[in-house]
Amino acid sequence: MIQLEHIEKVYRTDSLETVALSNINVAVQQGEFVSIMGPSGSGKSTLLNMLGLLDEPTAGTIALHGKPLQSFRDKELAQVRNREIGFIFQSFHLISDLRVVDNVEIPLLYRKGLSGSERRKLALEALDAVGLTSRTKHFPTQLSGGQQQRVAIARAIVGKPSLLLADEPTGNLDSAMSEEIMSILHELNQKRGTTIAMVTHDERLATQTDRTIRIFDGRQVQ
Amino acid sequence: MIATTAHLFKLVWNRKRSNALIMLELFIAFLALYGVTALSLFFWSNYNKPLGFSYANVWQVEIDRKEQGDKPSAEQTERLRRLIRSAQTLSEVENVTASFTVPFSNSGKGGNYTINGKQLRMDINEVTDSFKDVMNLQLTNGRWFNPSDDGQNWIPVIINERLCAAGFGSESPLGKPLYKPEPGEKERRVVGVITDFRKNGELPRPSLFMAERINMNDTASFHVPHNLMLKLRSGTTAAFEETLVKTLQATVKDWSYRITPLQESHDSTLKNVMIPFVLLGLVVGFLLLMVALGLVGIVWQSVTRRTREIGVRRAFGATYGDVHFFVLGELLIITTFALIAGVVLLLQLPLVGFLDLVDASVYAASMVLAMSIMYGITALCGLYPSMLASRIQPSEALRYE
Repeated sequence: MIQLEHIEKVYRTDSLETVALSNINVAVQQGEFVSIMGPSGSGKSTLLNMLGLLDEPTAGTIALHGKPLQSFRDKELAQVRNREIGFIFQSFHLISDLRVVDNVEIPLLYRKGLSGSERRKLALEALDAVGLTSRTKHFPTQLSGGQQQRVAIARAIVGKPSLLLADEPTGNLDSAMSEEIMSILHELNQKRGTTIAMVTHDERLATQTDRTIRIFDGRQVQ
Repeated sequence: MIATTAHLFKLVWNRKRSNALIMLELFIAFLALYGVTALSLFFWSNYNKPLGFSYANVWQVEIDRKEQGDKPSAEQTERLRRLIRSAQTLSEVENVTASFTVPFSNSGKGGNYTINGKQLRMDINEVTDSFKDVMNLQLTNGRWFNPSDDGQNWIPVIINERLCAAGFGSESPLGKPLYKPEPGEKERRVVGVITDFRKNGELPRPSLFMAERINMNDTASFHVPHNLMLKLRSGTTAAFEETLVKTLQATVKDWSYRITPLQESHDSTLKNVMIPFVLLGLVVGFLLLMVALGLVGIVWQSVTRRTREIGVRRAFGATYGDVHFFVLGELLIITTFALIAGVVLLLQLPLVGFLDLVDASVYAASMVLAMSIMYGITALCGLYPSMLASRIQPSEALRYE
């Protein structure tokens, strides 16, 4: 589904050069649920940003469905992100001044040809999928952490992406809520066939995925 | 575009508390700007209308009779006649007229009269027969005053086209009484129509105007004019002033005279209006500059504060252009809310008689102009911060603390 070959990412300042990723080769297959593990600062999130086309590699190629993306311009990359990729963040990144349903609609705002009622219908469906139909008119601050993360999942899946990228989605949650979030992710993976790549620190959660990619000091060790 | 605009409206509305101060600032700036644009358009529109007379080479002789009262005695009338005659003997003088009020002076005469059932406010002047030629008035209907008007039991009057239209509509006013006289008062009968006589100059709103004939033989019904106006031959220099005063003093010794070229009065009147106007413009300009600087700061801060939100939008498919539009659009929508409040307030102005002061076209056009300027300023203020926001890499924006 998505393939990273010989990826390097180097951050340069006038006096310093930091290698965040070095010679990473990762291929995530359609329908896979993979976890990315590694210590803090090892380059996990940078790798996830590469998978999500949020950052450009210094060297190497990224291909989605076999199509190389390095020649894509901002507009095309934005379209790919909009249609193919959904993001879940550790700290949810919900917009506090928007109601739950409006937060979920955000990805659809950047998709052409959808009417307001279609957007609303899809958002409500996504909220239904995460069990939050009773909270659509609430503001994020009126929800618990687990509920906020479920809103974030609804936002990530509302556009029916084929790839879901989750950056420590349970990092800010207690174990009960973490389980709840994981079960939603498993359901999406198994029932909808959504491909998922998840960064985690939690070995226990990693064991629940199909395989684990391990990163250490910017290098792939497994 | 429509979807994101609606979304932005929702966002701004939900953030109305945090946006309240900036909206208030924009609201006040809009009202101040409206004041200046309305005044500018008011002046501009008036300036482009014809004065109806020419003040070139016309001098005003203000007469101080050192006597109380306006009603003439036979002696005063005779003195006035002598003055006019002696001025006319001077080779530099083309023509002389006497009038109660003169252009560009603060004094004037006017009143409210009922004409064909309509209550109209008009300016009035009392003039002698040569006033038309001295002031180069343009007659468009009927005739000017002449000696045949002596001995009538009514007073002939000339009106301007504006008064003609307001009082008589499409009917001809000629030969008709202008208004019903008070008991014991003579009837004012219209004998002619002139284009205009905008005594107060180019900037004030043109008014309804009527000129009454001074019949120097009928000392009972006219006020002794305080002014002579002299049309001088082209090329007459300021040195002529001395000759003129000497001639007038030799004619009537115990009156005194002050000479002012109408060009000077015109320039001074214009300056008196323009100086406060320019000062007001500077104050409002400074206010707008402060608002603009404040806006840049607020938008910049807002962009910084919401960098992660921008990152989220980028992650979910927003392009550079979308982020640009998002930041700029939000500012323009905040402006729209402030302008809506301002426009609602301005729409009340006609209820307090504002349209009696300015034309409806000026009222509406200045609103549109002030709104356009406000949108222009806010767009300009949001341009750089929105450009910065659109350049943030999504991955950096999401990491921003």
